[in-house]
Parts: sequence; structure tokens; C-alpha cells
Amino acid sequence: MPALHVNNVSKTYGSGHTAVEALKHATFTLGDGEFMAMLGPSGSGKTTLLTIVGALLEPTTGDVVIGDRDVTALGKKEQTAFRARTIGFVFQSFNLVPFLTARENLTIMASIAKLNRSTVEKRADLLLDELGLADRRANLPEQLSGGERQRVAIGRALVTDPALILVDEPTASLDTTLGTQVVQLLADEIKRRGKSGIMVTHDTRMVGYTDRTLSILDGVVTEGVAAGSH
Amino acid sequence: MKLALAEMRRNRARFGTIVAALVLIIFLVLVLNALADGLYYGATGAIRTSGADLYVFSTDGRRQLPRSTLPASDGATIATVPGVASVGAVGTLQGTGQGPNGTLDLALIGYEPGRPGGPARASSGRLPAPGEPFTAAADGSFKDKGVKIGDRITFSGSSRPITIVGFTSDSRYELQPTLWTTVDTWRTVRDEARPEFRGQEGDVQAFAVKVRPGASTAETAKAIDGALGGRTETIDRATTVLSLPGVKQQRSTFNQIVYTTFVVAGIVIALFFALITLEKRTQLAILKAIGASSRYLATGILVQSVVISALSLVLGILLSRLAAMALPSSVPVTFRAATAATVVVATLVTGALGAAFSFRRVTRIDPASALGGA
Repeated sequence: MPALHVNNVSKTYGSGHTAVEALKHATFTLGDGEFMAMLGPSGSGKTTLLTIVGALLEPTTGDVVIGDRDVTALGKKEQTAFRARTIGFVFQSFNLVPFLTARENLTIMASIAKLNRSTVEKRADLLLDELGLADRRANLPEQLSGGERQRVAIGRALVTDPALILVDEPTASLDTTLGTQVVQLLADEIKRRGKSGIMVTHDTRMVGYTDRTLSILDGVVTEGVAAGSH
Repeated sequence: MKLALAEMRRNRARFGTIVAALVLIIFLVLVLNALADGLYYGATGAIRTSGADLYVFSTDGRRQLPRSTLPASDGATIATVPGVASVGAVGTLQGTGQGPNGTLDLALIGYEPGRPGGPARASSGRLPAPGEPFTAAADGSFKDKGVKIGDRITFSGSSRPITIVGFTSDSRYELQPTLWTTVDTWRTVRDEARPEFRGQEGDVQAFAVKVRPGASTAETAKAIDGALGGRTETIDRATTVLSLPGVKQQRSTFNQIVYTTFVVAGIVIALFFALITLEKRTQLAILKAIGASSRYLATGILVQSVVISALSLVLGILLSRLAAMALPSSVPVTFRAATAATVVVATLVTGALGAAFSFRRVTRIDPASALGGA
């Protein structure tokens, strides 16, 4: 069974002559254990696509199936619970909870996703070790470097053991060296755990760390690295 | 909840500010209440603790003891009314007196010890015996003025001193040190001190009535007025208390101030949470995106409001008690547990309502805004 199936998804913002078609009939499948890059310049519709796949936004038409669930058919509350347990998010600018330590930023997911606390804590400690944050677990985000913060964010996305990881421009706030390291680490973690993932980026250099690339330009999704998509 | 508490623990300065503001408001409310209670209890003790269910005034007395006058013989008529268990005459006189340590303001009240209308027991010493002339029990405030059992106090204009035989508690009339004596002594002193009242042989101001258990207070009041041919107005004790000059007005004034203060407290809390919710918009959107429900986040705000209120109450109560120690004893303040309990409940409710103003804002934050350009 594919991890994700996006079927003929379109999204139009506004209506009438001011309507903007952000996404046009996007159709693709993400295989189980596959890590895919979604390459596109800003304004291409890649964030809209990620938002719809992440059950944060209703498409105008089409449907999104994650595992065996049609997420577009879920109600708002069901979507929230679904996100908590099934999807791991890594955001553009780290976005950790500023008053929680590195470890707490992971373990808080137990109460947010209503998961067994000790299971989550065990997983959190393992992740912090793997991400090289063992001696930073008691530090607050403000005491961590940019790369460390993004590694904590990766840990948070994985700590609930979700089926699908969605990554939004993970290198936007990092320099090239750090960005490369973080994406390498992210790819390793996703592979090691057998997760499926989509990484949205405008940086073609990151494509090498993924199994496959889709390009998006003016709302149209095409397979491979398309001309003008970066 | 864990998230909400961690936020408070790690942002002590910010949450400390709102606690400090609330402590001051609670302190203000408690001191105002203590003053209000002090005034109320000091002004009304003589009626509140008199053991009477009803007071019988002359209709032209307009529910006030000094203005009312009734023949003492009405007492016997009242005693025969069905529902009446016992009846006692009451008369008051306000003025000054010469005590062992000089002149003092005082109230002299004549009643029939053992009957309704005055203290039923002495807190130390004894009450004057029925009919015992020129002895009195003094309320506790005389002790602050250095008066002891055995001392003699002469009401200004009267020729005979009154001997203190005991003390009573919570029995002041109109915030004045009050002497409780017999009706005959009261009338003798009154006639000497206020010559204009002379010649009203055997009058009293009002009657205090104890109603039989099980009998209706309202029905008995009607029956008494009927038996006395409509010359009287009989009202219950609570109404009599509120008819004391100024008591009702004081109560409502203080209550208005306290209600207003609670509204201010509610607004302060509402603004605080509105502000921090606004500041945390991005963070809340992220939390919602990763699966936190609006209910989870709103519960956190509620928990924070309860912790803020509880902490402020503890500190506010401590502060008000410290302030009470610093106040001179001449300021009538009474700190009552019941009032404190009301303030505790009102603060928690006000805090929760204030916090609830931010629930809608939290609900409306769009988790989709977590993605894309930050």
C-alpha cells in the first residue's frame, strides 16, 4: 500500500475574476518508505500542496489518502487528532516551544497526541542520542544553535512514530554546510525508521538526499527536476 | 496542563507581573470588605445579637429606636399574641459619659436581661439582674478604653453613676461603646439627661419579640400589629438591622466598590491573556499543526488563570492580614472567614471568565499558517 496518494487535487483561493489557482490537478503517489523532494520556487504552490497533504487545508477538489484514510473526508477535530499521531512536521524556522527544554519539546507530544508517556520518553531519549543532542537535552531552544534547534525539530516530528513526515524548507534558516548536515540526518532518520517523507525545498542541492523528486511550477506538478523549478 | 505550567515556571517575570497586579486588587478588596464588615458589625451588634426575631416600633417611629415610643404596658398585650414566645422592652440613649479615664462617647441601652432585646450572656463578669438598678454590662470596646469590672461611668446630665458588672461581645450600637442596663435605669437616666422626655411615665422605645419555634415570623408580626390596634409596625430582625441609620447605604456603597473592583480584576486578567495569546499566535499555530486541539490549548489558559488567581489570593490574604496588624485599633475592621471565602470564589470565577475571553481567539488560529514563510 502506498504511504500517500494525492488524487487530482486542485486548490483555488478566492472566487470570480480575483480567483487564484494555486494548485492544478496534482496527482502523485508516495511509496512506502520513500523520501521525496518537492522542488519549486516561491509562489509555485508547493506550500499549498504540503498544507493540503498535512490535513491542514481543504482542497477545492480532489482527495488525499494517507495509508488507508481519506483525510479530506475527516472533520476538523478528527484531522487534528490524525495529524498528532500520523504526521510528523518539520517547519521552516525550527518553531520549538521556547519555554520547553530540548527533551521536553519531544516529550510534550505525549500529552498533545495522547500517547503513552513512558513510550514517548524512551523514544525521545533514543532520538536525542541519534541526533547528537544527548548533552543538550536540558537546554532551552534559546541556548541551542540553529542546527541543534532544527535537529530537535526533527526529533519532535519523529517522536510520535508517525507514518508520514512532512518537511517545509528545512534549510531556510541555516547556512549551506549546516543545511546539508541537517538534511543528511533527516534522510538517515527517515530511512532508518522506514518512514515516508516529503521535503519541500527550492534548493536543488538537497535533491541528492532523496529517493525521488517532483517539481512544481505555477501549481502544476511534474515528475523529476523540471527546468525553471529552481 | 504540563505545557501551561512549564510556561509559567519558565516565564516567572511575566506571570509574576500579573500576579502582583492581582495581589494588589485582592488586597484592596479584602481591606474594603474588612472595613465594610467592621462598620456593619460595629453598627449592628446591638440588634443582630439581641436574640429577637421581631421588633415592634410605634408607627411614627419609622423603624428607628430613638424615634419610636410605646407604653410599657403593650408588652403584656404582645405576650398574649399567638406565636410569641417571649417579649422584652428596649430603650436607647446616645451621649457622653464620665469614665475612670475621662469623657467617652457611649450608648446606653435599657433591656430586660433574660428576655430578648439584648445580650443573653456576659463574656466575662455578669449581666445586670432583672430590675437591678444602676448596674450595666459593657461591650468589649470599653476594655480598649481601660474600663474594668467595678468601674463606674456617669452618663452626662445624670446624677448617679452606673457600675460595670461584666462585659459582652459583639453588642455595639451605632459603632459606639454600649452599656447594657435595665429598662428602669435607662428611663431614669434618660429623664435626667433629656428633660424633654420627662413625664412619659412607663414608656419604652420598642419591644423585642422571640417567636415560638415553628410559628411564622411574618404571621406573628401581623398578629402583633393587629392586637395593638395598628399603632405599631412590627418588622423582623434583619429589616431592623438594615433600618439602622446609614447601614443600608454603607453596605450598598461598599458593595458597589467591591463589584467594580472585581470587574477591573476580570478586565486585567482578560487583557493579560489576550496579550499573551496574541504574542504566541505563531507558537499556537505550530502546536495546532502538530496536533494540539483548541480544547487542549484553552484548558492550558484556564489552568494558568486558576494558578494565577490562587497564588494572588494567598499573597493578597497574607498582605491584608499584615496590614490589619498595622492599623490602629480605632479603625473598625473585621476580617471574616466567610467574606474571605466569597472573595476566593469570586476571584477564581472572575479569573476564569477573564481567561475565557481568549478561548475564541485560540480557536480561530489557523494551524495552516504554521507552514510557509514565517
